[in-house]
Amino acid sequence: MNKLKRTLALVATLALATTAFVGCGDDNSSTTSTGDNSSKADDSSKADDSSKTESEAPKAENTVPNTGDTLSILCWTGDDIKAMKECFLANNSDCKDTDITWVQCGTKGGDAAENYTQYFAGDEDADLYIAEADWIMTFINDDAVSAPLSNLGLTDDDFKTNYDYIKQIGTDSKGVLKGTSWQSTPGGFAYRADLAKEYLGASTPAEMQEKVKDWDAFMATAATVSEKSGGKMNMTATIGGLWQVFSYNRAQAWVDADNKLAIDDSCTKFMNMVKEMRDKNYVSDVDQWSDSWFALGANGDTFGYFVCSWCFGDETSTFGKMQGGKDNENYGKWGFVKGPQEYAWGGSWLCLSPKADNGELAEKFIRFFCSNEDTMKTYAEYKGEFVNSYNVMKSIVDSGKHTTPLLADNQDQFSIMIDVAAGINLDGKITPYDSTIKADYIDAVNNYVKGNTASVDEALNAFKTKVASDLPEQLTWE
Amino acid sequence: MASAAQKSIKSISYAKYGYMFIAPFFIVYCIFQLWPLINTFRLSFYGNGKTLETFVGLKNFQNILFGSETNLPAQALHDQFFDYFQNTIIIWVGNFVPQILLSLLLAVWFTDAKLKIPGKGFFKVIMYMPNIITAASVSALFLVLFGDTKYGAINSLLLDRELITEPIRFITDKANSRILVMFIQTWMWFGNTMIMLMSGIMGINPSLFEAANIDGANSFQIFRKVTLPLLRPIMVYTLITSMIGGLQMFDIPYLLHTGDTLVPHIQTAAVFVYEKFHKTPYAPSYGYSAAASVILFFITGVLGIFVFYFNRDKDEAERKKKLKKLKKQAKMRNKGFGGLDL
Repeated sequence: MNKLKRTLALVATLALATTAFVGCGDDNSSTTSTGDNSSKADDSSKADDSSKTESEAPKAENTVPNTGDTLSILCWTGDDIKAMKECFLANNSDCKDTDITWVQCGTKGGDAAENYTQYFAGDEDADLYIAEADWIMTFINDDAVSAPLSNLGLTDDDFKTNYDYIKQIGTDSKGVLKGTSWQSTPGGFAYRADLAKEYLGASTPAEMQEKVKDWDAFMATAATVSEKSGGKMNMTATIGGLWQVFSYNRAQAWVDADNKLAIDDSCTKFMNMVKEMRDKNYVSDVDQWSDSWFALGANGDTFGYFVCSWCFGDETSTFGKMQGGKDNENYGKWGFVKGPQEYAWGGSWLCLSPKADNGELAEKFIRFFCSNEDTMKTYAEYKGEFVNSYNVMKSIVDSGKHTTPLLADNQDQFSIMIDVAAGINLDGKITPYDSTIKADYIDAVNNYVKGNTASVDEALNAFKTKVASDLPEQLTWE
Repeated sequence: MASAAQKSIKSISYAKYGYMFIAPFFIVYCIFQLWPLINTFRLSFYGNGKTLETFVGLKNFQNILFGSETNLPAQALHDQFFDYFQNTIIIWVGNFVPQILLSLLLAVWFTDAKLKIPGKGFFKVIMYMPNIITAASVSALFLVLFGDTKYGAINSLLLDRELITEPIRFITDKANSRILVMFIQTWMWFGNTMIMLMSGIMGINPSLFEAANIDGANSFQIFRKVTLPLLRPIMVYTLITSMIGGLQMFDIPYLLHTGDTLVPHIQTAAVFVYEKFHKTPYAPSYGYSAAASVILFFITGVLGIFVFYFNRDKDEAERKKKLKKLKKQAKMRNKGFGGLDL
């Protein structure tokens, strides 16, 4: 009897203790892989070794093992991967549904970066992962969390159809290609076509482009729009949009060769320009992506928006919501032009994890979306995506069949974006600290525009101080 | 000598089962609470960014507390921490004073036998309600209500009635944002404080109130001379817990912003701690983050002791002192004069 009681007590205690630790377990529910952990650990060390030798002499041979049974992709944009998986399976009859899976690591790029670090430290399966331009450098410059694409047997030849700026971002500091993308995300300036005719006399996108071809023209047009609308209408919705265009056209990187913060004239210029635009109400005071931001377009309070490739879609897409949905009076009355300068917005890079254990499938996947022009075209048509190939996009534009309900007069946004994407140059302008520095800069701009800081000098000083506080030992300070 | 049987009986101890039952808590506590706590202290002596594993001694503390005239990042960290700390104090004082006054008033009214307020239970529930809504929902609610732009609920109402011509910046203006946070904190916590004070008042012997009534004291006199002095232990408790909570204030100040820019005037010391380890995920400043939490820990400790010292029952302490003295004297006397009382 006593023994029974003791056993029961022990069992109860153990049960309690176990439940307490349930939370520490593997919370990665979407991964279906049940591979043997120990063998995986071995594989990763092998992959590591090979990556070291490979980076010295890239060979066109897939050296990544094929011991895993599921291609796992880490991302924060599950919707994208879902569409890609569907398209991939529909066109590859030899692959089954369980062959590809994705792990949602947070909902924002920044969250994902943090989660990846933890993910790589553990022994879960990870073959490919998605990175964002703002922090991709941190990952691809670290051999512990990235591997060259040449490990998959992919050479520069395989990516010659891709846009240069995508390759520039995916290349590490030693010149090894470690990331590629299935998409390019060029943006442009969307405007109210009906009002452009009324206020500016511009009846075609080409005529409108003349009115916003550089920042001076943009300001002059803004003045006209403001005057003709009785001061009620903003030329463009947000400071965030203006900044996106400006940030892609900075002359230098945020961090210079001496690892010091580089504040140049463009910082001052942008602050002055935005302040003037805000004071004259050419731009509204709402925040990028906020509810009010959508309301501006829907209510007819803004003449234009800076929008990019992935904003387009049906009436529930980002740009569709800006227009207030199908039943709104402003729906489908918009035009799309290149705007003052070329820029892109967002974008995702596919990188190879050093722990990858599905070499063949990974290679096939990347070839399908990033290398093979035929299959890239399939995907472009499947998703309405602006894919990472000039040739593919050119053939779609030339066919003249592509239109969107969001733009007036059956305009094809791709015909504009194709030129924008070709004009983007980011060589050497990406740093590992971009997300932090850019966030601090835009904070400083907002505080200056809202009158919390009195002058540009004070605002720039506040910016420098904030970066110093956020990156005290990561950057060099005198 | 004990026989073998006696020995075996002696060894049956049920205490060990007790330990087994409480073990899960202590194991979980040690792993998830005690170790992180110790680790925070450890990390505060280590570097940041690329030097996470380097022991730097008290450098993190030095930089945060004293800054440096030659080192820009150190000065920036120093300024930022004290800015945020100042915000914390301002917001805490601004929410604690109205909160304690309101709670005290309501607690006295609700416990007053003479007043007979109808629907007491209903009001108590309603007033406690804001406390059970999560901070995230509360800030979302207030962001919608007090939006900066003309689309904000209050602004659009005022603009519609033509009471104002320009939208008021509730969220980003220095004074407005602070007042808003103070208001939210007061609104969220006065119900909780009220319940606590009520339990304190109900713990006071009712005969004291009756006696005061019979002696002809008015309500205010009863409040000042009976309720307040006897409520002091609870008041001290409220003050200390609120102070600890106030110094750790994080959720509302952090969440109350639109877009990506945090409102600088309402950022608290806890936000500083969070930002330093979280904002740059690839090169975190763990050292500064940990140092700031350790500094907060000591400030909280010192303030707690201070408040406790000044609010302890002085008569009681004096009585104890006297008693001690008397005992000592008695002892001396006994020693000196062989137990003879002269």
